[in-house]
Amino acid sequence: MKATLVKIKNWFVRHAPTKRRIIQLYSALLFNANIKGYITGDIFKGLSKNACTPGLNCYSCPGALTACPLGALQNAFSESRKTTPYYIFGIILIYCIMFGRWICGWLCPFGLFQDLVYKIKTPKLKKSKVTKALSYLKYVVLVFFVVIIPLAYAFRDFPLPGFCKYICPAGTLGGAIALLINPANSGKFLMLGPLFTWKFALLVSFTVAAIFIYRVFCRFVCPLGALYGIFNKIAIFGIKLEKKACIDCGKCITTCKMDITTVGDHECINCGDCISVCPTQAISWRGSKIILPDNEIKAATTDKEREAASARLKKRKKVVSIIVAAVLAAVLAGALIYANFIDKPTKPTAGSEIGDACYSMELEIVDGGGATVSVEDLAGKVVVVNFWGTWCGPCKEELPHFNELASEYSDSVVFLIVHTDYTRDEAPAYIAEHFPSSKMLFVYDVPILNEDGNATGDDKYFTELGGTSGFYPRTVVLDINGKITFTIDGKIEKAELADEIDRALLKK
Amino acid sequence: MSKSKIKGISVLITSVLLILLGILFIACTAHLYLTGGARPYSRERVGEYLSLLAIPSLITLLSCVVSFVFVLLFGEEKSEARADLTAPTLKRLSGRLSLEDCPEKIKGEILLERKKRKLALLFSAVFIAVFCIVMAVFLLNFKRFTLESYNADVIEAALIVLPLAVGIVGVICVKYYFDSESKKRELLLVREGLSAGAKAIGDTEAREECKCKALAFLSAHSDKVLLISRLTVIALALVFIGVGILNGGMADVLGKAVRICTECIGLG
Repeated sequence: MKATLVKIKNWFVRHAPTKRRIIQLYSALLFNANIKGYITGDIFKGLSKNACTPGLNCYSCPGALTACPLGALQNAFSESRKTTPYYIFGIILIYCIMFGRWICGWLCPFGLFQDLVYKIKTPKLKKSKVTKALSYLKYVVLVFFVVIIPLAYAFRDFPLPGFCKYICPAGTLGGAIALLINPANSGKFLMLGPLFTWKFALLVSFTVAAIFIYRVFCRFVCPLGALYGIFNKIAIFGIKLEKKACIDCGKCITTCKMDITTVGDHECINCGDCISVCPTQAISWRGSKIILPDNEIKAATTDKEREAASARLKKRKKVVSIIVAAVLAAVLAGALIYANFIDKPTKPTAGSEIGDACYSMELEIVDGGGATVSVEDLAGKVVVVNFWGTWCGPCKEELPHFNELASEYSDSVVFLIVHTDYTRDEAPAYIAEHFPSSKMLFVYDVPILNEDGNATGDDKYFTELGGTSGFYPRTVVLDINGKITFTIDGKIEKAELADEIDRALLKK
Repeated sequence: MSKSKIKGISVLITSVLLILLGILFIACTAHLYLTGGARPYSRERVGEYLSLLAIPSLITLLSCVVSFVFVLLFGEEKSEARADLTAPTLKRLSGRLSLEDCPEKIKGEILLERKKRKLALLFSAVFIAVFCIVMAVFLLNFKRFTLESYNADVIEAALIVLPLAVGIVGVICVKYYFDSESKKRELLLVREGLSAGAKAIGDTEAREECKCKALAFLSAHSDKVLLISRLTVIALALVFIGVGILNGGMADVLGKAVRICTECIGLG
């Protein structure tokens, strides 16, 4: 019994959280500090989303405080005909040159998820020539899904994030599942279809594989890791190998679970496990001497001086650690307070459920010279209100169906197509190009003003008609008296909308 | 039954259960989708399928806990990962081998291996380029990708593009396998050369032997080159961020990030 207790105690001592694990948990919490989002089922909409998380963290996750660099990059490629993507290039370059794949090993929330599932006691697949060859697959994913697909669709004026849409498991886990388990989003189940089936299957496959294969997604698929890996050798912070001290024993390579050829190459996630196994201490942290220079020890001529210098360096390390820990704790506390207490959510007001009377919306007509239209003016006809944006792929996909229905029902139904975005620059050109003589009535939503009177985007009526969850597109059908008969978030098929219109018309 | 056998069996059972559970989850999702009609998913239907999966999940969880306890009590076996040490060792040793002093036969064979690898690189580059050009020509001439049928168009395009992509990956794998075998042979030859009395030269001499003066210069001043390249990249990144803020790139990032990307999370 005593021996068993000793074994258990030794196990806990051996498996106490390492510095790396603590930093991984800290960064996962920091990047997903919007705890309130998990409770309300809504995503964070604050200004911190101007910045990007260094690792893979879907911005549609209810907890996410920042944007995902990969999602932002693909979106930037999709919009590259209008805006050259300097900003996101700059952000990613900074991360690449400062940290390289240290981000993968220490900051990425999805990397943490894989590390944790790998701890389940099962036989593990060892690295080999096959895994080494497969590790180049992520460069193919980077070129094809992150660059080519969004650029190709940019020429069709259609935003399509190839990697996010067809592969990314972080979006399915952190975004879809986290949103859907909230009862407030129970209606969103109707939006699920073949894409979710595919992505869920992919998520389950990656999760099961990660139990048996160390960091399967990071090694073989992650395009962000591929990007960071290109700069890994020249990044400021990371692992370095002192070639003069290296005796080529290969212990670092055999200890490492990644498919490295040498320590610090493009596959190295800078976890630091190799530092302790190197018999000649040839492996160390690059950049550590910027913060804690050891020139006093090097300058010492006697053993006594060296000991004194080492003691001073040790003391300095302790002080720096305390300061860094205090700063990080303050940053996390600040993020939690900002996200959960300062940023007030927009609550849905009455008038968003079936049977409610729609608010009297007064909306400016696109290219109408300031002319407006009000829902009250359209009394006596069924009104289909669709909230869309030029930045939204599914929205653009369904508009041609709305156009066809608008022609078919032109006598009895008005299609009010409401554009929502931070800018009104793109909508007129898009509408003129794709719907030149449409029966649909294109209008702009109204800006929401914050406490300082500044506009935070054109989505006032979208929000008031129950669209607080940010799911686009949103379609609302009003009967001849302006009462809501049908609402749906997400794309709607032509036949289904025609049925709802017929139902609303029958109520005459 | 010995402790290690008990531990081994429990770990094996856990592995099998985990794989089966994964397959069950995927199968249930596929069944839900295929039998659900136009809008297959609803909270109630998903709840029904989850209740079916509850017992297998609990059994798997129990198995994980049991195998964890057995490993805790009976000790964990440490096994080193297999690793190919050929490439780094070869790089280190062959960089120090003076080919001029090497026996002719060994020198010839070493140069032949290097030539073979260069030829393999050339052939694989040509194959990959051809595959990429075919893919690009197909995609650029693909007249569809309309908004109405883009899902179907993507599947159709994927049926052409995927085999080409698999071909590219296959060429890379073959090249990699060929290279690793060739490097193993070269490593044996280099070791033979060194033991036959060929001179092992130091790093400085190796740099001076380098015929490319630019490479030799860069190698001698590697620290300064590294510092300059880092500073250049940082400066470029800061300029890009500044220009990006001015040209509206930052607003684009915010505009996309504050709205749920339904495609990204599989909702449409």
